[in-house]
Amino acid sequence: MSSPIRPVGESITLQVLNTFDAIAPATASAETWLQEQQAPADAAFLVNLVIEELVTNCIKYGYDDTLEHTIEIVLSIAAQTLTIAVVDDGHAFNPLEAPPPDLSLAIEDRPIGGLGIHLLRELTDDIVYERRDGTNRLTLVKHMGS
Amino acid sequence: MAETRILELTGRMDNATSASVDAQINTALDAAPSGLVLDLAGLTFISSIGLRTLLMAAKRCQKQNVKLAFAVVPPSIADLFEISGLQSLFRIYPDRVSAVAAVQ
Repeated sequence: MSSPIRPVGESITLQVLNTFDAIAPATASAETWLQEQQAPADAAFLVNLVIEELVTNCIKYGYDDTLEHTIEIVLSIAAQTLTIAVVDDGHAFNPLEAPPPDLSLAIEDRPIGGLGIHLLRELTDDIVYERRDGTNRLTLVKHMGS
Repeated sequence: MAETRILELTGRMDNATSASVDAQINTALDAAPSGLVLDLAGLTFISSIGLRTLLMAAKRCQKQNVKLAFAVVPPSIADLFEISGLQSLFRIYPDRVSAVAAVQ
């Protein structure tokens, strides 16, 4: 028997349907919660970017059917650390395996793509991908006030 | 003399809005101006698709020989320009007057 997980600090869980219209209300809920937690503005920007990049990506490429799915986003803050977990039941996809974009190329040689996960890597302190029980779980960690 | 076009980008540049921004930039470039200034003072958020839209605009400007300058890039947006390597490709000015002067 596994022991129950007790979250330390504050957390909120957002259930986001796999439709583009669901992104704005989810972002608004996240922003309200972050304000209540008195999180800094750059944390709000990061959460905005995580929801926009990962939910959009999941809706566009994540599913092999046209059914309704729910993407779960769990925000938690403990000891000045913001943790964002994004869980979807799409096909297995590890975004961390994507090669980093070559930022040294001249303007005319820049490929149009591969930027989203690069931004999230740069703006966070840690990102972990797990495939568990038929779901993709990406956990992003950001130390605030540093 | 062809004139300078100025576009103000406001609110969010994300999956929902970037196509319309792209269309507006292309309309401006279709008029074959000598310079294009993108004023980002009112831009509150940008995602990777928004950054790609700006990169595509810069590519088209280069192809068309249109001088491109950015005016008033908010700090959070400037951070993303830097992280994505666009800072070195874009000419960025602190205000609209100097951006317009730079493309004339």
